[in-house]
Amino acid sequence: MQFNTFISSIEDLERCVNAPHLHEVLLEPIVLARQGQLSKAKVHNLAKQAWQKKLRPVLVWDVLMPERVMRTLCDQLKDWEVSLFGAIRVCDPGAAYWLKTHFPEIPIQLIVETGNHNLEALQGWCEILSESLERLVLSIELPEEKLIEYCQTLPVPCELLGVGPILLFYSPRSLLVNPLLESQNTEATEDIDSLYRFNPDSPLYLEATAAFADNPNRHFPTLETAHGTFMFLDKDQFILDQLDGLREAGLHTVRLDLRHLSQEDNVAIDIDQICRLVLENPAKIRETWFRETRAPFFKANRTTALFPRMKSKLSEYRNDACLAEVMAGESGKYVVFYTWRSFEISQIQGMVLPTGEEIVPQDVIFRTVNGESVDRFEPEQILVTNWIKKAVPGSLLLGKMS
Amino acid sequence: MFKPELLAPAKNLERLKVAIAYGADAVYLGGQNYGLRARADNFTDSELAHGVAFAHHHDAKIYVTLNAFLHDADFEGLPDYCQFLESIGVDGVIVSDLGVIRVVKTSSNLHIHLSTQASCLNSYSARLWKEMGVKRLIVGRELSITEAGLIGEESGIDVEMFTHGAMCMAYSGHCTISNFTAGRDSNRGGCIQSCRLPYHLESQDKQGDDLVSFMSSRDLWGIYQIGEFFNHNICSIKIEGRMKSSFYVALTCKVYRQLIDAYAAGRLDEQLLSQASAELQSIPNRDYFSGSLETPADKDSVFGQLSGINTGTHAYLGMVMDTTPQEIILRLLEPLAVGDEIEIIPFQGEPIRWQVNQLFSMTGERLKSMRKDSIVRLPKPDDSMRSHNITKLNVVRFTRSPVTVAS
Repeated sequence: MQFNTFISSIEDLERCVNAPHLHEVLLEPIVLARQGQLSKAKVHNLAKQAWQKKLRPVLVWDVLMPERVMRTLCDQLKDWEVSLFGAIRVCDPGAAYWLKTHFPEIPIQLIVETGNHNLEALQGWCEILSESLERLVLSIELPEEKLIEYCQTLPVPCELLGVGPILLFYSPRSLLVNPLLESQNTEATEDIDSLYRFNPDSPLYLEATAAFADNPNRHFPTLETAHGTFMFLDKDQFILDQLDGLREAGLHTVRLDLRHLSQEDNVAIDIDQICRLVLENPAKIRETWFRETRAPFFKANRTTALFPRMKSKLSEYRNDACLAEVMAGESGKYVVFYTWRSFEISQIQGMVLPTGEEIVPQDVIFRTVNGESVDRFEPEQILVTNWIKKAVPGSLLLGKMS
Repeated sequence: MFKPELLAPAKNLERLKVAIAYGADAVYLGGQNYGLRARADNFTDSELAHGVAFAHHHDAKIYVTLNAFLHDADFEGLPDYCQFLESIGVDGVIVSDLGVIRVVKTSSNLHIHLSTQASCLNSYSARLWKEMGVKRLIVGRELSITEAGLIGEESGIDVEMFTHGAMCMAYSGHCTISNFTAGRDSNRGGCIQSCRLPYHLESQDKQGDDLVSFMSSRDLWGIYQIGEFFNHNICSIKIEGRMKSSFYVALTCKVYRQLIDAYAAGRLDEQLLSQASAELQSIPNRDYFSGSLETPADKDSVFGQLSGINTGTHAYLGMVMDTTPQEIILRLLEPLAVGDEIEIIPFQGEPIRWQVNQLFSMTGERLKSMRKDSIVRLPKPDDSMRSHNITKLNVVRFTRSPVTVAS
């Protein structure tokens, strides 16, 4: 199992050289990476330096791209020395397909951190990208048990975030400029407007925190770059002290994302010491970590448990045995039904209330809107009966299943 | 002449029928599992079969959403469900997850439409999804119509676009605020819409004392781009809102039906657009804008109103349940009193204005007023009213604005 991390300076590279088990560095250009701050020249230079120091540089191209953006970026990429990179890391399936088509020799690391939480999908990506796919970057919403299964089953190596910020929200829209800058400088509207137009070379990099009105003590770091607006959880993902099972299962890479702890031009502060501690005493890192930590889904993802409770109790009754539904009523006077299908009065077996309680109404007389008493009913007919206790709107009249 | 399909949402059978009655060519809806609207009524198998039969009888199509991003355990029963959907004649399924696509393909011959949740944004992505068996792309709402048209042209695949309704501020499928702050998976139907909340925003230069609604998107409308959908061969234009009311479904379907037909007939003009705008303003909305249909959504795309959504210029009253030559039977979603002025919205043509002079209970008792969630009889006031084509499923609104309430 190896580590990797983001770098943005020669000093970062030096620290990576001294970091045990760290063999790969991630380079984020402004033009291609969501949080990128490096020029093309700097990325090329760092890539060359990385190879010299026996580190494998990976180009991060993790923006999602509407057609206009993709065309711009693909045009620009033709001038890049892509062979300088050991691999290219992408999130947009279009980028993966473009690379597979135009640079089949370049290994692809595919980020499948959102919306890929099952083996079937992950196997699908492996088949589609076949030889071009070098690695899958898995989701931290997957529990350990599943991560182990996937590492053992998938035909390509996997990567997981070991420590770092948890991305909550990725919007292509500019959401911070307006509230942060416009209020300060209303006369410079024209300049501000230009920030909203996609400009991959824009140096825009705004940072703020956002807190819910009803929970003002939790400050979610929020960031705006040329590629949009990003919000992160106020606590870091941290599983560095729980890696044994994954290591045994063959997890290939653990990502150490320290970008939010950057100082000046460096984004891999203390990476050498952190790698050393992960191997020697990971529990100690958690104790002294810079921010609160958590791994909310590592032991179990219980976000599904809620759904059965959100369903109506009556769903299971809304089948071929459901004859009619109570639409309205006046307590002690009458109930109005709307029929769902044709039936006869002898077919009625009972009613179910919205609470799930079942009742058997007695001596019910059904009348049409004209007041005629009837015992055979057509679909979509309005019927008025004498008062049925508890029969509130939404209650269902049930018969035998046909 | 090529005409884009008008595709409307339906939370339940009633709304399916309303959508088709008001002009939808196709309806999308969710079953009991595998969809993204856990709170919606959602269709049981029996209701689905009934809905498909109803739609086909009226030359409309039904697409079923299987658009949740599933975990392994969620796949239970999916192959059987796909076979069931195929057996009842469902016209397509809307899918986001590659795993689900693969299961649909191996277990049925259902047409697969790629959900907007998958954020297909460019022609290379489109080609890749096409290789995976997708027949139609519901492209991301970040695209212009021109871009969507190019994607369709270059990839040789049908392209569907949203033309109306609420919008995610994030790239669809790329927001997990609910997951990590509320334990509810937004991509499996549990979104708590945190983007709509007000926040204290702080930076080095700005204190966070004031609340700002900086992540809430205004609502999309595409009434001024109808011709562009035609020009770029967008095969289907879609109205968002499986949780929305029958009033919303009726009004949006009616407006877009009129605009599509008028454009096809070469008679779409300023007056019709102005009427369409007024009609859409009558339903609750978050200050419409044209999204990214022409140019990328910019700083004006944020709905900054902290007090809740605009309730619209007219309040929804209810729906006609039945009619006789002398009276209509009306289900009330708001209280109604003698003297109130109401408007019945026919499937086609101008709203029918009506002052309520008499009101009766279902058992014939004369009333001065009636509470909401009840059913009343309204005698038609005169012969001229009897000649109007008022019918079951017509939605009814007050002529007045609703009382403003915070959302």
